Amino acid sequence: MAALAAAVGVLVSGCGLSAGYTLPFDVGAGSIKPVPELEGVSIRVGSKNFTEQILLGYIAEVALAAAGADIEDLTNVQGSPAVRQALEVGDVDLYWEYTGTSWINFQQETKPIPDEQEQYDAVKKADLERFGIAWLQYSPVNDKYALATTRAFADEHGLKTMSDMFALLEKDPSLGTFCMESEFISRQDGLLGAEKTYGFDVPTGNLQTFGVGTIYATLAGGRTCNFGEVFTTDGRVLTLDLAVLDDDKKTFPQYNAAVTVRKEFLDKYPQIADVMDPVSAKLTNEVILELSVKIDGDGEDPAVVARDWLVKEGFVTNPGT
Amino acid sequence: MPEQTSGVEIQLDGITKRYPGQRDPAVDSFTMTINPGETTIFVGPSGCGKTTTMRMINRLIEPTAGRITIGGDDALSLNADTLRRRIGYAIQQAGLFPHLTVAQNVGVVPGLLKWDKKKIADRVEEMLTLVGMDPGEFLDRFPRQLSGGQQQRVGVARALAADPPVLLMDEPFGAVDPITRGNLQDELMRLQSELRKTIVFVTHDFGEAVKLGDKIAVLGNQSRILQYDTPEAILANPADDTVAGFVGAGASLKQLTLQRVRDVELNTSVPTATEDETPASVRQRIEADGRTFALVLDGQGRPLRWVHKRQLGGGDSLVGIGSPVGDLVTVQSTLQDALEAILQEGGDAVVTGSRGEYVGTVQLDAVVGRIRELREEHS
Amino acid sequence: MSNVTDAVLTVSSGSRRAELLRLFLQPIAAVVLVAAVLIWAFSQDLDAIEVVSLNRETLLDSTWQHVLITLAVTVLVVAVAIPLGVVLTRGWARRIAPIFVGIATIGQAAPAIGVVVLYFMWTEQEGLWAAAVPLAFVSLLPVLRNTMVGIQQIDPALVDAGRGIGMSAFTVLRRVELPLAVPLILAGLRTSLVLAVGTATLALFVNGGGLGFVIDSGYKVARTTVLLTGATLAVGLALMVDWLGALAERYLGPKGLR
Repeated sequence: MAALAAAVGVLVSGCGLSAGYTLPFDVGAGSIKPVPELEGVSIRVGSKNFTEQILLGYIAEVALAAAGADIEDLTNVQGSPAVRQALEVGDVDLYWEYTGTSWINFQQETKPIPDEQEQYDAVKKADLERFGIAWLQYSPVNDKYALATTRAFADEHGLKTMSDMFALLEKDPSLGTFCMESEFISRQDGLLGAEKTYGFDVPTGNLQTFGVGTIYATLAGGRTCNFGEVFTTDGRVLTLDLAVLDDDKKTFPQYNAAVTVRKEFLDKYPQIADVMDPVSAKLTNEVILELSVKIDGDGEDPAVVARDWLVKEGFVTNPGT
Repeated sequence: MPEQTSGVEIQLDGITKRYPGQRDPAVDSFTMTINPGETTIFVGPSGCGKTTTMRMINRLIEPTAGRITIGGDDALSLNADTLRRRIGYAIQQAGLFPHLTVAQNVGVVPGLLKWDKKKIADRVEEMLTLVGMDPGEFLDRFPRQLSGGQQQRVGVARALAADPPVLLMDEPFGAVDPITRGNLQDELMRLQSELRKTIVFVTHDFGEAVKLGDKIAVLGNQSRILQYDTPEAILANPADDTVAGFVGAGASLKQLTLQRVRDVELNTSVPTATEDETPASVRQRIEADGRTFALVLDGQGRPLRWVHKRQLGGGDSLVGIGSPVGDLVTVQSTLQDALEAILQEGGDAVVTGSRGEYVGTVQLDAVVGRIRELREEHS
Repeated sequence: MSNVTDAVLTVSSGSRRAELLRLFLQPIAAVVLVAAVLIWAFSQDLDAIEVVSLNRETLLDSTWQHVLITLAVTVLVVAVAIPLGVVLTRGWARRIAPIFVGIATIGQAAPAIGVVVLYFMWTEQEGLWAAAVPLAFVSLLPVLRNTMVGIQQIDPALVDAGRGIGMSAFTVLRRVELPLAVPLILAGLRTSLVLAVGTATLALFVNGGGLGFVIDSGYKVARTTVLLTGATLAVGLALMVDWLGALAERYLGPKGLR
């Protein structure tokens, strides 16, 4: 029922996002110099409601603030479809999206494109034509699906890749118990794709469905399932010491993160691309993992973590230093 | 004195009820012997503890001190639930269970006593008939389909169903209108004359106490017994000012409820006629007597209608002529009822005998005369 | 003696007719709604992702699991709330009653998904009962409160009459108080069950199955057809459960009280 209500809300949408928040500190210029065309320009930055997205959102905010823009903080929007909807109708000006997500969810495709660049190009073209949404350069951050297991289990059976896993299951199918979300089970590029690529059929009885949040804890518990669906950039992979199996046959789709903007907004302020592209290029999965652990594990403020990383990389400075 | 009693003697010895936190006990050392087969009334002002005292007899309230003996058995040593199944209990609101039929309500206690089904069914029918309700009509009704008076009757039937030797009644007729109350009181008296149970009856209405009681206990604060005697004795000689105040002035008028119609002389001079007579002939008889009215009787001699001589014109028969008899009384009725009937009729009231047959009329003079006699006896 | 009977019936006959009409139409409406959406969904050109959820086996399995969860929740709620409600109306429990009512209120006020996940993290259980237990906690309050109110609103004279004629305290509870409280208890149960059907959509988060799976699948990958189908099935189920509750209220209560 709650999901239906949320979905209806999304479909009917235009739900006004509240304004009034901005960065809690001042930002000084670093390698990002003040850009006259962006001086005082109001940019509303949104994000989805999980750690990595919030972090990326704040990274964009700090970078653009250093360039002189007037930032409105609209990160942490409830419900992934909602922030996209907000971008389309103009309640948000900019947010980070993933190539794979746009391809499947917004373009309503069913088969992803295995190559990162090709997937990006296809999405960029389609989104521009169909929805008037422009994609900036994509970053190496690739928050894709992966299968993981506990460190102990991996060591015990010498598992490093998914091929290793399927080989093990050929020998002992009873070990093939999986915790995953409903989305992963239904998508062609999820479990079904993996089964096809690696040539192994997991009996449906061994599939346990969980909410994505609860999978990590269950998997780490080691009792319900030996393998679970995880996201490669989720901090819990580190904190729970999960062993991520390498997708050696490249079955899972690409989910490169990139900044998305409405075309007419970008046409008005093309300098945004100049500011964001270098930052995008510096972001990797390792960076995201490390910063996520700071936020989720150590409880630090995501805006501060974002700023500190940008300072470390020299993009911005703390005023007065 | 009644010969056959199914009732038993109740002995209350020093019964006390103390509530924690209160300085004075609610009931203080109550001692009384209640005679078997009699209706004993506890009467007194509200708050005097009369209901508390009665409820200690069946231990709905446990006494803090004292002994209770019922029919020779020590009531305090028995299991309370078992004890209560041997004591009939009727309350003001009747307390019929709304989700059970009349039959199921009446059969509760026999059911608790594990009688077999047939015996219970027979007994239920018997009890309903006893309280004047047609079993065929009422067995399967639900309490909400009954009037207040009917519910009370069923309540009494339920109380009597297991044939208990003792019946406790807590202001059972308080919640109905005066006319129904009068009828129910009469019913109770009729039942009691047949069954002869030991009845303990609580009321605040002294008139009701006088009408129903064989013995009355006038109770004061903490259920102190101010006077315990027959109604006549109390009316004649109230023990103290409190009792006198409670009895109220005009005790002699209260005597009206103790006197019966049969205690006064009836007027038998009213002409009577049967329906098959012709109006003309009846008219002749009336005029010959120098009267204006006649009473039409049916085949069994039961009164039907009054006819005025002017209503007797032509025609073959008296059927349909005249006005119906209003309120009538029986030879058993109290003088109080007779007086009310006289006032209602605006003239003499018709009196019937035990089979409903016409025996005469009662006149105001006769009633007043009797009152005067009583006054002179007791002054 | 006049009969009071029929006056009561005729005065409310207008609303009674409306009630009967609703009893007749509600299940039909539910079936029609579900059928319409199913026909619409399957008449569409379904892509590969949609087909994973929108096939006969998945839909039947999910619906059946949803029914099972609702049943499990019902059993738990009845087994806990009714006895607890009875106990809390006893004299000695008067002072602690508000505590339990408060706990149940927290259960209802707290977001169901929070309760489900918290329970999961605390017990590390998953599956049908891992969902049913927290959902039962969330749906407890209506039955608990109605049991208590149902017993408390009974005329004390009836209890007095029952004890006075020789029923034991337990017999009075069993034969007088509970039967008279049944209509209110059934009404509370009906509310609880409809709540349960709705919140059972959350069972998927702890591997409990149910229609939440279909709804979530559709929502995550923005497939409206799947989303609507799952949601409509849940709504249809809720309507049917409510209808069954109405039937129970009407026909399971004591005859003398209708």
